[in-house]
Parts: sequence; structure tokens; C-alpha cells
Amino acid sequence: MIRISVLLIAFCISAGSSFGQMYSDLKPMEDIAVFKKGLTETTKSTKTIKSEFVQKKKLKVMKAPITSSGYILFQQPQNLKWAYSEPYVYAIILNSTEMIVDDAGKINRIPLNDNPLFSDLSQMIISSVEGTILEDSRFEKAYYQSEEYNAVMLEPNEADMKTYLNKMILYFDKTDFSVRKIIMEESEGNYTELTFSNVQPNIAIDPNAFKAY
Amino acid sequence: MRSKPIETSLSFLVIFLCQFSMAQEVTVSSFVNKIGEGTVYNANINYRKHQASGLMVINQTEEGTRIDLLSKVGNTLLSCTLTPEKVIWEKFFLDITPKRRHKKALEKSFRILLLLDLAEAKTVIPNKKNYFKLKGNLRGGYTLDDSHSHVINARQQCWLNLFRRKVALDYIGDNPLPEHIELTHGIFNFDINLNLLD
Repeated sequence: MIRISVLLIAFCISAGSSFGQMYSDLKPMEDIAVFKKGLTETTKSTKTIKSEFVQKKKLKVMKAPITSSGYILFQQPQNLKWAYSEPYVYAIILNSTEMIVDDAGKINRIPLNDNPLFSDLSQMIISSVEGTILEDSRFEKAYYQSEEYNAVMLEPNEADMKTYLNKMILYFDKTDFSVRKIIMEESEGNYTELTFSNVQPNIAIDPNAFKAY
Repeated sequence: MRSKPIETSLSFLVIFLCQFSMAQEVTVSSFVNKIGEGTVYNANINYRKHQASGLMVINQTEEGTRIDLLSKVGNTLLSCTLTPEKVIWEKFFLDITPKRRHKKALEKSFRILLLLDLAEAKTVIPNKKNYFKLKGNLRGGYTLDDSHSHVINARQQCWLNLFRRKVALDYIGDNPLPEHIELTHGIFNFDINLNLLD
């Protein structure tokens, strides 16, 4: 009996420590209402976003993450370009009707009406960048803060979504409420971390940037 | 007394033949044996009119050779571990419930793509054309480069040529890992192209 208890305690400590290591700087948010108000105002006033990003894909079977980088362009209401420039050239363009994949010049158009999975993913990506994902009822939300960021942890309610997303953490800048980091955790030890830099809200973006030729 | 020169000649002949056969013996194994913690390939997969691209991560683990196929945005699309006897599937293209024959076809493609049957075969004796076959369970034909250091072509042995999977591998310099790997499976319009990422 004592052995089982010791094993259970050891298991809880190890499970807790892996969570703790990854999100050790987070503590419960002090004033959620102020954060939500600030985020709503920022979302309403943000018409465009241009930003660079670094993506780190961590697999539990590898010590070093797979790193890639590029830029994003966002324009209200539903235009998003997610472009990778290193170490490969690849872009995803999302709008309200289709997902366009530009794989080093090879164009593939996927109508969102016929693909509920892609439609869900598309909506999730756009609302994550925009910050409106907090209004999505398909997620349980928990609010945290660190020295640098406000953070919201989202856990999907739907079993289908859980097959590809265990949880997602959005980190917001404390002063301008822009999204600075997204961690998408697929399973224990497997996650994708996106860090945004040089975030430029409300700059002019050529509408042709959201087209693929 | 007379038989001595004959015995000596026979001994020389045996030694000569042994040396000759040893000179022909080359150790060949799959490049996956040289993969350390993880190797990443840019992957393009074409099946009929469909085209998909992503990253193929290959790892050697205690259980066997692990393959993770990721989308460029980071989602894991497929995960499996291939051992000499079986394949252990962890994930198969998100929410798709695969048919047994699709899994089997993909397993066969992965085995020839990564030359996994060679990972089991320790030594083979190539003929003068740098081509050799593995028989028994590990059936396949393999072509070596002139220096006998790399496998540059592989094909599955199959009763009908149309059904054969064929693999071409390109190497650059001293790198033991192929820079480019291309698998074609003609009759099904299925091919996989891998390019090594830095």
C-alpha cells in the first residue's frame, strides 16, 4: 500500500514537473477583466498585422528542435498569409473560402466548404493571430501571467480536435496586447512554439500579397 | 613423397581462392544505420492528382527506425516505428481511419525508401556490375556506386515489373546520408521525394 502511494506521489511529481518546466514562469492572472477589455479594444482597432516569426517544432524523440522562420501578413476580416523562407520556401494563404498552399511555386487550392477539418484549422489559425480565439466556445480557458506576458491556456472540448491538439497557450504582450508567442502542444513532449518579432500593426499591406499565381 | 608438390599447389589454390572471394566481399548496410539523433528531410508526396508536402523526421530508437511525418506548420501527420518484424503505428494522417492494405502499402514503401532490409543484412557480395540481390524474406535488388560506398538504386523484387517500387538515391561528397531520395511506384502513380535539410 505504501509502495503504491509512493509510486503515485512520484508519478504526480514527475507529471507536475514536466508541466512546471515548460510553463514555470506562469502564475494565475490577477485581473482577467482588465486583460479581456484591453484585448477586445486592441482586436477592434487592429486592421492589419505584419510580423516575423521563428517556429520551433519539438519532438520527444529529438533533443534539438526543428527550426524554421518566415513572416505573417494579416488583414481584416479573414486574410492571412503564413510564409516560410528558411530552411524551405512554403506559404499558406487563408481567406474565408479557401486555403491556398504555395509550395515553392506549386499552387494547391483547397476549398474550405468541402473540408471541415481544414476549415476548423483555418479559423483557429486566424483567430489565434487575431486574438479572438478566446471567444471560441470549443475551448476551456485558463488565464495566467508572467513578468513579460499575459497568457491564456486553451484546451479543446471536442474529442476530434484533441487528436491533433492537446492544448494551446497564447502569450500576449502586456502593453499592446499583441500575440507574441503561441505554443501548440500535441501530446506530452511534442509541441510547436511560434515566437513573433518585429510586430507591426495597422501598416499598409498590398492586397495582392494574399493571392497566389 | 610425390604427393607433396600437389598438396602444396592445392594449398596455394585454396589460399588464392579464399583471398579472391574476400576481395569480392563488401559490407553494405542502410544509411539509416548512420542516422544519429534525428535527420530531417523535406518531403513531397504525390498520389494520382493529390500532392502533399511536409517534413520527414527519421530517428533510430531502441525499438527500431522511427518515422514522423510533419506538416510544415508543425502538426504530426503520421508516426510509426519499423522493426524487422513489424510496424508500430502511433498516428495515421490525423482523423483518417486507414484500410489495412493502405497501411501495408505504406510500410513496404518506407522499408524500401530507407533501405531497411539492408539494415538487417550485414554483408553481401556484389557482382562485377555493382548489382546484387537479397533473397529469402529480404527480397530486393540493389545497385552500388563505383566505389561501393553507397547504394544508389534499389528495387523491390516482384513477380510483375509494373508493381515494383523503385528508389534512386543521390549523395554529395563524404556525407553518408543521401541528399535526395526518390521512390516511384509506377502503376499507382505514387511517389515520394525527400531532400535532406541542413
